[in-house]
Amino acid sequence: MQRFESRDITRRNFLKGSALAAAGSILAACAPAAAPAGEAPAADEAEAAPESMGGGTLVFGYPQKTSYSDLLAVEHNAGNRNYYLMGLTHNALLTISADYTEWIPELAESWEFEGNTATFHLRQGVTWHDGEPFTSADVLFTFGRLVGHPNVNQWNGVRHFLDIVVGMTEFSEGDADEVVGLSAPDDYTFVFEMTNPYRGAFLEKLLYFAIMPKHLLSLIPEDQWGIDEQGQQGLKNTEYAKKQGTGTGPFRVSNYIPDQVVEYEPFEDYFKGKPLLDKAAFVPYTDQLAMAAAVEKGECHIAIRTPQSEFERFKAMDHVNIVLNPGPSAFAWYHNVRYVLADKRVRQGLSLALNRPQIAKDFFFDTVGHIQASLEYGDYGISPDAAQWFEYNPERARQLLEDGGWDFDYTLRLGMSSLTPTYEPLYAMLREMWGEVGIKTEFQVMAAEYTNILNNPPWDFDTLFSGYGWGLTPGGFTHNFTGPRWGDPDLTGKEMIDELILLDDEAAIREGSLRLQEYASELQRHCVIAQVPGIHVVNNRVQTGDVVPVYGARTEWIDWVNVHMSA
Amino acid sequence: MSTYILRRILLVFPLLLGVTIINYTIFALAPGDPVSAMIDPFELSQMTEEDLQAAREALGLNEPVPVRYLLWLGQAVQGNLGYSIWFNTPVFDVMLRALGNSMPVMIFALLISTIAGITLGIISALKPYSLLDSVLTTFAFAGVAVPGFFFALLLIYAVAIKMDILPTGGVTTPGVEPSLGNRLSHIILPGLALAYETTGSLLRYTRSSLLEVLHQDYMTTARAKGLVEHVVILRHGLRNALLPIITILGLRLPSMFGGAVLIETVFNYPGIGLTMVQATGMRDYPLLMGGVLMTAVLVLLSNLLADLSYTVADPRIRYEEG
Repeated sequence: MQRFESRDITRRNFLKGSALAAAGSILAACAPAAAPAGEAPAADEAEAAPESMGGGTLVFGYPQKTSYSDLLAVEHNAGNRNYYLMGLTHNALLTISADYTEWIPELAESWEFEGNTATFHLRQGVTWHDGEPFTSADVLFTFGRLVGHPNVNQWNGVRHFLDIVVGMTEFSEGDADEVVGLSAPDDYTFVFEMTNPYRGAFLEKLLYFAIMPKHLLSLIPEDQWGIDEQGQQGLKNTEYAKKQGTGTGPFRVSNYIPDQVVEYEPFEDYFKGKPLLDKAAFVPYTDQLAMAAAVEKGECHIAIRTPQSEFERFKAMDHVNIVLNPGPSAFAWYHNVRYVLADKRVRQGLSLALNRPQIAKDFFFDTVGHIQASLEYGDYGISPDAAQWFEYNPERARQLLEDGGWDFDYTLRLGMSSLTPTYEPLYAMLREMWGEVGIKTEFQVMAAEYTNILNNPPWDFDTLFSGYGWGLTPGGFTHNFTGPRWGDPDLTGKEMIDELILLDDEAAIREGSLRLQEYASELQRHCVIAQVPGIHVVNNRVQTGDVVPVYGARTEWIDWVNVHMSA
Repeated sequence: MSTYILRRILLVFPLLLGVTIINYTIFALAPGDPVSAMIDPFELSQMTEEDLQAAREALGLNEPVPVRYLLWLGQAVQGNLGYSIWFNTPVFDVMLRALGNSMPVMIFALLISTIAGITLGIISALKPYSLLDSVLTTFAFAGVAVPGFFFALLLIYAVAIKMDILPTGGVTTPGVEPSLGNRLSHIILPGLALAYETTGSLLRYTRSSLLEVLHQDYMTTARAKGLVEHVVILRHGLRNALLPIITILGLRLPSMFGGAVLIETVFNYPGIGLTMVQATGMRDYPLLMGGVLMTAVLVLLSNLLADLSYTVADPRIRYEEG
């Protein structure tokens, strides 16, 4: 009692001191935790690095307004699933280089085509994360049960194989018990029987599918795979989808909190060797600025697909590298060729009125080159005959519009599902450029009527702004000629593709692809504006992490075995 | 009193019914649907109309809106809020997980704002029109006027990036062993951002309310009885000034959920606000309805709580029986 009343320590001072001590304790408790989020862990990692030849924790982020939902890699929904599962926890039979010029073996060591048969020789000695051996039974289970199963084929991309793999259509429609065109002659050989002698186009389809473990997923009865009366998909309501995510990839899932984080630990028996990293973590970012802040602070080491609006900001940071890697996709106007855009010359005029270099500079901050053709494969380049329809030539545009009988009193409706603020400056630029050649424009925001307008007669729209993809091989372009929403199918273009996807000779494929490029560019069924930028930001501490994937089909990306964090 | 409470609780049900009808209709009229939101846009452009219809059929989206609503309501009254289309998990579980993240932030924000708002309000009222009062008033108006997300961005820039003492966002630091300290460090910035507006409001209301009572006769009587000043202020002044403060607190509790939508987005903090943003993006109707229902219940309950608190703060207030 006495000491509280002494001159040095009054009761009030004691209370003040206690409060300060408590505050200090809280801050002290927070400080060690906050430190690893930033640059501080570098010290620990620096100590660990010489011994382990690398190590550290790598955090990679992806901006997405919507979340991700599970660890079931067989379905490929929009966005980040390509990154947090494929290639990290799971493997496909093969992948493709980031510039999509070279097929890279994964679970298949090699393959050969003979007529309509594709034979894959599987890698031996591969094990699943739980130690079970990988065999052709897993491949047969993946393609023969999971991919085409009537209960799960709503969104999982079975259409890639319909009428391509013998018997897949019948199986997916419930008319057959198995896919007759698939067989596994032995533990390390797998055979696809195709309906035609497809080559590269077939390999491209395989990129979409991770091979799944039969010994785990076959434990779930097939009649429980589908959507129940509550709208819940049985396969996703499993330990596998919610916790395990067992694959053959370089990392296995150590901690998964939906909507928050996926944490990984290295898989010591990975067939390419144990990864050097101590840990990896994937974080989804709903807000792009939140991801930018995490990159700036060094909490997020690889930021995938950052917005072009932040490009200058990232360029100014000296602790990151920027990797530009746009994919085979673009922004485009999908023309409805039934009505006012029926005449090819009008569509050509619309294209020539656009100053694409200016769009690339002013809207995309030069993160993409200006597009010069409707499609471009690998390193085949651009044909001058294709590029001529992408030049900025307002005089010729005006002439073509007049020759095509364009009614300059008509107001072209620029269709879209909603008027996204992000794209408003782009729309303004386009309207101004078209206005300069005398084309009046107005927005047609379809909102709730979007699917009705697009899918039902009288298809009351002129053109629609949307994403546009041409695939990694010519087989991926077919839909751009056949989509019923945009008018009658273009059979000439479809026939060109049908012939092209059967070719085996590289020179012939190159030649055919350039002819297809010229044809599509001249036809202008889609007014392609610019490639979708792929701006990836990599912290300097990430060593050998500069290969990042394109959006869409999976491509080669980070060398997960050798990537590590430096001090 | 008990009749009053019962009557208030019974009134909750028709109100909730109205809220759900209005919200379900608005969600159904919004452009897009879960199918188009789930599928990669480039994949979507390759799908046929038959593919899309099959996907919609599987989710029951082809039924008319009133039928869908009645189906949802039929399950909801049995305590089943359905399954989240996107998370493929019961809505209740998704909301519970999100609330588990949000509640610490909201409790922290409510505590900080209540303590700071009332304390600073008292200080402001005791020294009216002084320099300190002007500074506090400016602080309070800034809290009310500046959007929470802007303050959140300032905190990230100043505290997380420049001062480098707290993380920029998330619930925990990826790759780091979970610990209480780590968890707390992720709560502080979003909590402060969420607390600022409430602090400003409470400060202003406490100040004006207290100024009204400071010169009442009973305050003079209390002083005349020889009570020390802080007892006069806290027991006689503040208690009589509490009614508007309780009202503000009652209103702030549900509005914290509204504020969390932006704050949690800026901090990439997967709480109830961010979950609702994502549910909106995905057109996850069951999850959206679950969120709306929860918010509506909270609003009604916090109003009831505020009403009941009046009787504690002011014994003269009685709710008549019958």
